[in-house]
Amino acid sequence: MRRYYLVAIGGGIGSLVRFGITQFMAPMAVWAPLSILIINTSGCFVISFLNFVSDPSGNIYLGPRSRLFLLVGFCGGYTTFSSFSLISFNAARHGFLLDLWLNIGLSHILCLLSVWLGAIVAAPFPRVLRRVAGVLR
Amino acid sequence: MLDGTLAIILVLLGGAFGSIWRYAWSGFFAERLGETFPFGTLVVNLVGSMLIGLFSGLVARVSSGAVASLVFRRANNYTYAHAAFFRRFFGFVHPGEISSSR
Repeated sequence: MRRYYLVAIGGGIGSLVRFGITQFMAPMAVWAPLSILIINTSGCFVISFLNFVSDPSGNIYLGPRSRLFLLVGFCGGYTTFSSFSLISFNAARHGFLLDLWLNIGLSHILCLLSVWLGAIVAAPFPRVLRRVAGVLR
Repeated sequence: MLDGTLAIILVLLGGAFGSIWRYAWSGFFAERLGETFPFGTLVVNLVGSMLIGLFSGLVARVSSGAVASLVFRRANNYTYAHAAFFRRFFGFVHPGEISSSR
């Protein structure tokens, strides 16, 4: 149970930092995806540093709980790109090239399609809501 | 529509819920399908992408203020660097909309 609290608090803080950066950069006249790009890049650096500076058994620098809080919670809430990239990097490092390209390819193609699907499903909603409101009235 | 404090609380709550959700699913898939391929992360990313597409579509079309902002923010924190990145990249939304969602 305590593990879930650690993940939740880390995730909340990570999300808030992410939100803060996007809010801070929103009024700037820069390329629009830049804030997300900066967040993704820095998140990947941080998760990699934390991952390789410690070890999963929790003997060096970070214990298992700290890893859960920082890697799964904070970095995961900050940007999912961090865990995605770390997984891909580890696949490459161990020579699982099929896993590497499957992960990269599937994630990007299917996620893009999923966003498209979500937008399509959302499209008729105003009409549906109006109809529901009409029935209720 | 959303003042600063409320936005911070919503982001904190959404991020916390989203992170637990993600952690639970990753564990679920790792337990059943093994650690060889990250199915959990992949599935969570997919579902999150779909949710952010759905909610941003709803926000854009219904734009019923705080309630829509709440669900949108939750979807955003559920994972979704990927989705946000692509949505911005392809210009489906105007800059600022995704971050402020007001």
